[in-house]
Amino acid sequence: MAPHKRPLAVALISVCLVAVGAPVASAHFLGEDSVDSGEIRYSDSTQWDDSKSWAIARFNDMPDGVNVAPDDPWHIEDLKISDYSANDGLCGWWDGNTGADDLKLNNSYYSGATTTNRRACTLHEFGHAHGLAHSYSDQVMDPCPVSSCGSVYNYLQSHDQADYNSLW
Amino acid sequence: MTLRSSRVVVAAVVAVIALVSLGFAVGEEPARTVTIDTSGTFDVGNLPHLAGYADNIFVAKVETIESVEDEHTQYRVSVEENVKGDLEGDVVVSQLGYVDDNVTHVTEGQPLLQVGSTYLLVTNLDTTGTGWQTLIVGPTAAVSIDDDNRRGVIERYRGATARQVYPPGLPPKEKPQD
Repeated sequence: MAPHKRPLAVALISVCLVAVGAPVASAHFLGEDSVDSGEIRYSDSTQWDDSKSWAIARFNDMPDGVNVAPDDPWHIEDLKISDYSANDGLCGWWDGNTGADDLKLNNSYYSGATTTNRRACTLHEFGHAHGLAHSYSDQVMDPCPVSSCGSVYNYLQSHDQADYNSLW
Repeated sequence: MTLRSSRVVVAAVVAVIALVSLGFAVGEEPARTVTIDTSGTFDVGNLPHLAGYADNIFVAKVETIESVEDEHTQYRVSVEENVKGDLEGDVVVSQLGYVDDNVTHVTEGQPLLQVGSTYLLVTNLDTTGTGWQTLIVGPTAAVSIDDDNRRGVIERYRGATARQVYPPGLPPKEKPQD
């Protein structure tokens, strides 16, 4: 699905936050996401099913938010989840496209990682799919969300949730 | 200029504007850049850790773009000097990032390599058996080199290599296929 540019929405949110005295600088949005009409419909060929299911469940736990569900013939595919292999220093990445967006998990990392770290990385990538940008070191959206960089989180933290709720 | 000739000029300007607008209206997307949003596994700003993670650190000039596969661009580069490892001649470096339909997709802090430019590159041998060098993602893994900064950059990375440490807590790298 085409990336949804949200400069106007972000600007309006920022203006409202300024009006109520909230710290605008703490909001971390990408300005694009995989969400279409309140849903992310995905297809997947990843072998890392546990972390994929975990991440989807954590986001679907968020009340009144985006519904993440498998793609079907009655919906347009928004997100493709798949694997790749490279010693590139990453555990995964998300890329917005004109068609379905890509969420990629790195076998070269996942094959030697703990369940906790796999879940943390996949949760982080789904954060990008929801339009969340990198934020702070004590959040899921830490630029380096795995234990070799510090603390690891398998649940959305306070700022992750705040950004999510601002958007959705 | 007579009134008639000025009307001709105005008509010509309007026609040009209309043609240019039509060019946009038929769907040519203006050039733009978007970010591939990544998750790192260690601090690439820690150069001894970066050196410990890498198979090769070298200075090379980008000669051509060989191919684009799976969101990665492959460049043929000519090796000029090694800091870690012993690459020789021409090698192919594969970088996460690509251009599609006038849209450039890049990772944060690491622009696409430019043909004709020289860089210090930090890489690992590709795990899938291609023989390519996989460029590590991050601004410190592709440093633009010119005559002014060359020696300083190389000495900084030599020092990091001398102190190299595999990033603590990071799982071992996947071994390349034979």
